[in-house]
Amino acid sequence: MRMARTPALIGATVATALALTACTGGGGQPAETASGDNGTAPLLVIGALQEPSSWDPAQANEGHLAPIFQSVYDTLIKREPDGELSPMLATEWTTSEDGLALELELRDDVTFTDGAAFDAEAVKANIEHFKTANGPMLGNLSNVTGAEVVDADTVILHLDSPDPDLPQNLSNAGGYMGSPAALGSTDIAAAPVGSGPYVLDTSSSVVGSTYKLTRNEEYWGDQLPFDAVEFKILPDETARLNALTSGQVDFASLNRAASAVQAEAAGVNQPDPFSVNWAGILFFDRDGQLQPELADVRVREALAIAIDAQALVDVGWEGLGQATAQVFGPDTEAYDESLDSAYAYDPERAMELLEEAGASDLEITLPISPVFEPIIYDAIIQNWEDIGVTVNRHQWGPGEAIPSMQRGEFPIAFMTLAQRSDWNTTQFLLSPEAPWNPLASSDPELDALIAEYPAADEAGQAEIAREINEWVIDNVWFAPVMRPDTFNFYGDKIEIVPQVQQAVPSIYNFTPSGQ
Amino acid sequence: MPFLLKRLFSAVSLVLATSLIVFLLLSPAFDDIARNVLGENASADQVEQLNAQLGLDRPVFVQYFDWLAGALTGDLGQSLFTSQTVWQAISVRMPVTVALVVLVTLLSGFFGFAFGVLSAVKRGWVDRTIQFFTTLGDALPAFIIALFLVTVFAIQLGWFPATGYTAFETDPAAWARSLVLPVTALTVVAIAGIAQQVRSSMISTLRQDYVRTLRSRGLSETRVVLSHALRNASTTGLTALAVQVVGILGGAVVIEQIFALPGLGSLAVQASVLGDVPLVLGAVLAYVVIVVVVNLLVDLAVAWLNPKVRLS
Repeated sequence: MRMARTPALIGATVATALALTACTGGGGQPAETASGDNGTAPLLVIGALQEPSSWDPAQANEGHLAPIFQSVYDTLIKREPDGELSPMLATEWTTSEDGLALELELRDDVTFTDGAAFDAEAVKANIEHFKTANGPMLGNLSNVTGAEVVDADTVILHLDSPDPDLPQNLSNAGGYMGSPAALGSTDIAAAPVGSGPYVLDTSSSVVGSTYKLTRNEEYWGDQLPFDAVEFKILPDETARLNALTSGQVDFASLNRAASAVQAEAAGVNQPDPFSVNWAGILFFDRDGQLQPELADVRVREALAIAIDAQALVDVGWEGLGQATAQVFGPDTEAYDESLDSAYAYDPERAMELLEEAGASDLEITLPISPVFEPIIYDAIIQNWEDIGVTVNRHQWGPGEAIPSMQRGEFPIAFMTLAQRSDWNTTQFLLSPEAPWNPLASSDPELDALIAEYPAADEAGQAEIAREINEWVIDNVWFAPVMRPDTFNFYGDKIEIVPQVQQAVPSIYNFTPSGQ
Repeated sequence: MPFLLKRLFSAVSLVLATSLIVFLLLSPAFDDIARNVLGENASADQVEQLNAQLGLDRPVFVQYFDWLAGALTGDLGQSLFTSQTVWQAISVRMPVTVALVVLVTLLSGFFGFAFGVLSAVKRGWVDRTIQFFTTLGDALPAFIIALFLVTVFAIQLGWFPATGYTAFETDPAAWARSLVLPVTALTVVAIAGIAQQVRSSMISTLRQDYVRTLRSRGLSETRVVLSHALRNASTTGLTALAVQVVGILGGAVVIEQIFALPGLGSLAVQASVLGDVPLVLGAVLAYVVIVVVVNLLVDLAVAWLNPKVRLS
């Protein structure tokens, strides 16, 4: 059940916070605030990139949307800042030996805001609703076939194949519990009906602008330290930066390194550098269906080592990140620091590889997304042209990039993706059905490693994860360039603890600073 | 009455034409909508299922006529990305954009006419100074002015909020404070165009024979300028104002983004980027209504000021 080792990148911040929070998970009752004993504060204002498309828990999403859903819905299991799992609505969970059942013991003192009781039947109703609602995180419960009510406080989730990440998924969208009386109704789409620490004040909220949440006075656990939380929806980066530097919001995350430099210059606080993403080239076409030359691993390696990763970090990301060659992050078992330099910049060797592969006249199309700084594309294209590759540009319109990539329309693309858990990475990037393996690349050796993973014990899983990482690097399925820093900024009135593998802190990780 | 009927007919034609054009322009992106709704974690099966659920797998014209049939009965549909109906989204956001546009129109109209008349009457250094600043205002895009205003008056001085909007009924003072910077940014640009038009129109009007006659009859200069010359010259100024209003609506799209104002502009941008077709069509409809109403008001004002227009 162990999820990940404590991320080195978060380091001291997390360690201190964990020491102070003591037992945030033990039944979900934070004993003290992360900053010590700073008591409560009237209001926390978060500048958010996104707003929920629906309050139906089955339509919840992760990442930037996590804190807003966590405010109103509790998950079955809680994920601590370092990734460890702890009790929340479920007090204990046990996976069967064959990995095809997960038994959950539930709290018996929780009611939803409409008065309905939280019990095993409620869990069953939520699981069944989640499976049919076609929400964005449906994959969280893809292996779950159903829920069996043992008694009021015990439920068993049955699986058709083992899913080592299931407990973790129950701390994500797959674990949000809504009132069974409201599930599937239009009411719950418009206003949440959960058991979370806050309730939505619909009269003071404006879709597309502001969501105000006030305390759930009937909350079963210890109250969070803020009396009210306001999410200001600020999708525009300039607006978010201005709101942050003028003190209108207590917290905001920024996407662009240039904005982060401005926020830093304005004296806004930020945690020690950490990263939740990796950025680089995805070689979708490893079998050469669209670009025959890419079937040759030497061509992929040539393109990978032709990129001057450190220069790209410095120029394209203001130096705010680390060069890497791995899709696995430092907080996973698969990660091996020595592999960060596996694709060290070597244009001469790249030219030799192309020649050996008979691809010295390679011509390739690089699709350009408006989301990323043009200088990133310019630098990569320059690097590739330096080894004799002809690069054509294809400009994607707004909103086109991800659908186009996931339809497999281009053999390669530059993208920033989350660094996930070991198993999640295989399901997200590597397996033939993975959404980020659109041309269904597969290899018997890799498939065998992925197949072995779920049944292995903890040490075995760690070993397999490392082997998968090495295999992926040796076969150059990707050309990761960097782990860009995640830009979390906060004002003087609060303190935050970053959440591993999440772009923004969970709602539980915000505390008043006492100022 | 025939005048109003004609206007109504042209407005309906405009709505039909623009809605069809917008629908066709957005149609290549229909394949991406389900993927964007579901996000990057969803499987191909999920995308296919949602496409069918949203009816996006039907031919484009079938989808358009389906929308049109609903629109004719007052049902503009449901946003694909939020839990709101299109009517709800527009009704929440319309007051923000209308407040912005009305305030900018009134202020730019007042100052544009004032500066134009002052330039034409005083000439000399007053004219040159006003010309310099109006040319400068014309040359600077509204978003540059907006960024300057935010940096100085919101971030450094903290006099006004950098982002956000407070409804008038919630707190009139906060409402005014939330609009000062965006209104100023748009007004500075709009004044420039109006002042230039009013100035040249006033100069040519003041040279006409009837003005000389009025002066020779001993009327005060103020009366000659404000009661007679301005009335004639205002037709050009009002027409310029009507053109500026359309420009203000366009500028408001960017300004609403910068100031995070929940208006129609930011709605239109977000909905367009995501491919939220029902919302884009709703926003376009709302814009057409605003433009038609403004043009109608200007036409009525011109007709009131100038009897010759009434006769034609």
